[in-house]
Amino acid sequence: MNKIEKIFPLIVITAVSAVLLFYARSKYVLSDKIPVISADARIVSLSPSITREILLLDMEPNLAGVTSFCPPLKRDVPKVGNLLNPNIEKIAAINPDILFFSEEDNPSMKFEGLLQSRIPLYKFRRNRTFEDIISNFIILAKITGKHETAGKLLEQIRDDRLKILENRKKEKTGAFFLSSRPLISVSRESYINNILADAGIRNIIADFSNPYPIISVEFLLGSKPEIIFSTDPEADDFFTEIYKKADLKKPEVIIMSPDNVCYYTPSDYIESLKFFYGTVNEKE
Amino acid sequence: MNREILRLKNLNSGYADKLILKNISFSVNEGDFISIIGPNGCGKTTLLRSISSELTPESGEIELYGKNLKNCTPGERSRLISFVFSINSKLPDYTIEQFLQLHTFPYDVPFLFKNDEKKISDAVKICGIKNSITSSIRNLSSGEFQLVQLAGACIQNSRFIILDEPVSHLDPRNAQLIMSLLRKLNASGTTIITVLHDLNIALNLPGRILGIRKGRVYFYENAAEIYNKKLTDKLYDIEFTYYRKNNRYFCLNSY
Amino acid sequence: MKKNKLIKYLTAASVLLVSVYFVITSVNFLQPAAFIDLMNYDITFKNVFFNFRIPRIWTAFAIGSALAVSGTVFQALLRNPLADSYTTGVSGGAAFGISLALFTGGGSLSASLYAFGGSILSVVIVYFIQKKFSIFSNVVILAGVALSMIFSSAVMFVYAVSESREVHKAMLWLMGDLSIARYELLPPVFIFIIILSGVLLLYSKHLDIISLGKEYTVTLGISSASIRNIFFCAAVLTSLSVLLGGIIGFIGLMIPHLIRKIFSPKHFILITVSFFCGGIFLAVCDTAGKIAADPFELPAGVMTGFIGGLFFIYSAIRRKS
Repeated sequence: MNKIEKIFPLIVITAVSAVLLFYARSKYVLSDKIPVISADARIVSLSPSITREILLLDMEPNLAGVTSFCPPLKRDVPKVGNLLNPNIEKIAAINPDILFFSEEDNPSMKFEGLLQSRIPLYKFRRNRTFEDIISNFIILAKITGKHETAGKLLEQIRDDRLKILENRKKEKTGAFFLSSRPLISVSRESYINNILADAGIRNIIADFSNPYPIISVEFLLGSKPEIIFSTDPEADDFFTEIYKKADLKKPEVIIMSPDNVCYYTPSDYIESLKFFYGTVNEKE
Repeated sequence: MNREILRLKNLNSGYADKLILKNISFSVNEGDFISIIGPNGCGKTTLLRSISSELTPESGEIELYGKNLKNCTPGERSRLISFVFSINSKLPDYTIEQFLQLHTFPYDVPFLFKNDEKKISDAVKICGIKNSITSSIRNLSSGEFQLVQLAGACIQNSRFIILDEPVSHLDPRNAQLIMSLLRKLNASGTTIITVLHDLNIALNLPGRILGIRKGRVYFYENAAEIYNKKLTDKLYDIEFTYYRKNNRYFCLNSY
Repeated sequence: MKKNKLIKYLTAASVLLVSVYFVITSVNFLQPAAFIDLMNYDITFKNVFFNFRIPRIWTAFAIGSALAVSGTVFQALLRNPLADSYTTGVSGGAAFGISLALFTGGGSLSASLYAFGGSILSVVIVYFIQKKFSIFSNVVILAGVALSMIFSSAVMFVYAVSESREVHKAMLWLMGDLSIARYELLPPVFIFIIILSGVLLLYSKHLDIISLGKEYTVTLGISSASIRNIFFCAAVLTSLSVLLGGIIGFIGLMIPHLIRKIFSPKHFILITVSFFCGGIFLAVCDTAGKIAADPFELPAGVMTGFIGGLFFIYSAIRRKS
């Protein structure tokens, strides 16, 4: 008895670790195969951007569940939580034919839970460039079988982009901020950086591994942007204040609406690109 | 009857970086009734805590029934000697019965929940506990709780009991109750060591008195010797008035 | 006296029944007929019920019971009614482990392994402090709280330097969100929880004595190996709960406190009743969290925090008056 008492902790640690290691193999692996769904399939989308793409493909009637933050819809579609915290039991109760999920904005911890639920799901990859966004859109078109609609739309968008790229003459250094307190910016890991580049804006905050890095005021002042974009309505006051305090010339600050730039759909990409391009080239 | 059951040899003991007991040596025989006296802070409680091995001695040895205390397992220790401490902290809301059941622990078969009910009822009878055994130990008066603790000690080991100030905060009636109970136990063979503050009680107990002053053994004598040499004067650094009547010793403050 | 006891047990039984009913019917708790209809005729609903709701209730039960039992034990060991498994830094270690898992970029399963490792690390640290100063010293509580703070700073450090997307993942853990629990881990972990609670039940007389204080513990012959094992069982129970569902506060504090008042301070009863009450309480909290913010899910940790906080204010006021 005494002996067992003496080595008891070791027994427990060994047993628990052994069992955990045994179960540490993930049983649920997502296949890379692109599924195909029927025309009347019921879709749950866990990403507002994908919901917008579904609308672009005229598939609004197929939506069976969306996140609480999503583009305006014509009819009442059940909400399944917000994009960071989907309600798995609710999704399972809807029993959709497919669940769309984007690596861009859903934390993968919940993703494990969704995998366990055995609901057929497709996970879209991260969007870093224009081509990423296009290829994700094409995959969506493949899944839903809406090749034609997608093809027409993409043709138009490619043309528009090429036009802008060809006419581009000026280049400015700039930065984009999602929020001013703290200074949340975008790096080259984010598609927004790619829009800026297309519009002829050299992002001073490109060199970060984090797609949405928080940077310091000192770093911002030191890298001397010529133009600053922000979706934060209070950003103008903030930049006025810090440049005054630093006794430096304040760069041009442009407050823009978050309606397009926050979504990674092809049409939103082109709309944002037009906006950035227009702002950089409007004067003179 | 005169087996040596406790022996301290050159014991040095204390807390963290403060040595309180210096070079303590004495021994206790079976059936003795030893009282320990001394000024506050002289190390009486430290001495008891060293014997209970709550404190590990710096150096020196404590022998219990001829066996070095260091080599005893906690279980052996708990079967050889039982303690009654003066408890200041709030105890959990146990009933008297539950509290007494815990004292059978040294004799329990490990991890079997069987209590020796006869032992408990005997102890209740010996100690004369008048409260219902389902009443809470939190609602007891000091005197009643002291009795319950003593009953616990009897359950644990009725051959050797060590007490820390068992009557210090009791009224004379309760103090008499406890002391006569201790004498009764001693008469039936229990070895008792008790810390006392009331010299008049200590001087009229059958056994020897251990005086501790500044962490050292100052005397270890019987009452008559202390009375004759007025040893307590030096122990407390004050002058007492001594007198003797009907073979009882008295030692009074002079204020 | 007898009548009081009867009323007490009847109340307890009815609270239990209502809880079970509430947890099972969840969103439909006001329309039992609709619930029965759904169960009978809606296959999807039935599947959801058996594949999602039941495992989740089970997870909640496992976590709640582990926390309540370990809370009971820590309160006895540290003789402090405000102690629980988190006062010893176990949760801090687990949170730190999870943050580290973010760095290495594993899935949630490796995150649970890291959490387990982290909590064992803090247990070992507290254990050595305990060994040096004895469990009866306040140093243990102080060290536990200090350790929690150090670990939470370490967690914040990891957050500050890691990618922002990863942070949310860890936040869910720290909030105690049961929807991210991995059900395939549940059966073995639940068995461990039962075994460890059973071992602690065997130690219940030890715990009765330990809660009397240092003097009794030493003189009644409780060995330090026993104390170590008790401490260790309770700590591992906490880590298992963290591993299953993240960090959920207040249960380990509140449930033992209540049971001690209502039933008995004897640890045999205390541990047994806490095991069931803690489990049911967390299941109820989790269900309430699902209903309260529909269609979102409130993490169970948020619910227990609310209820626990209110409970403590209430009991503080009642004690004053």
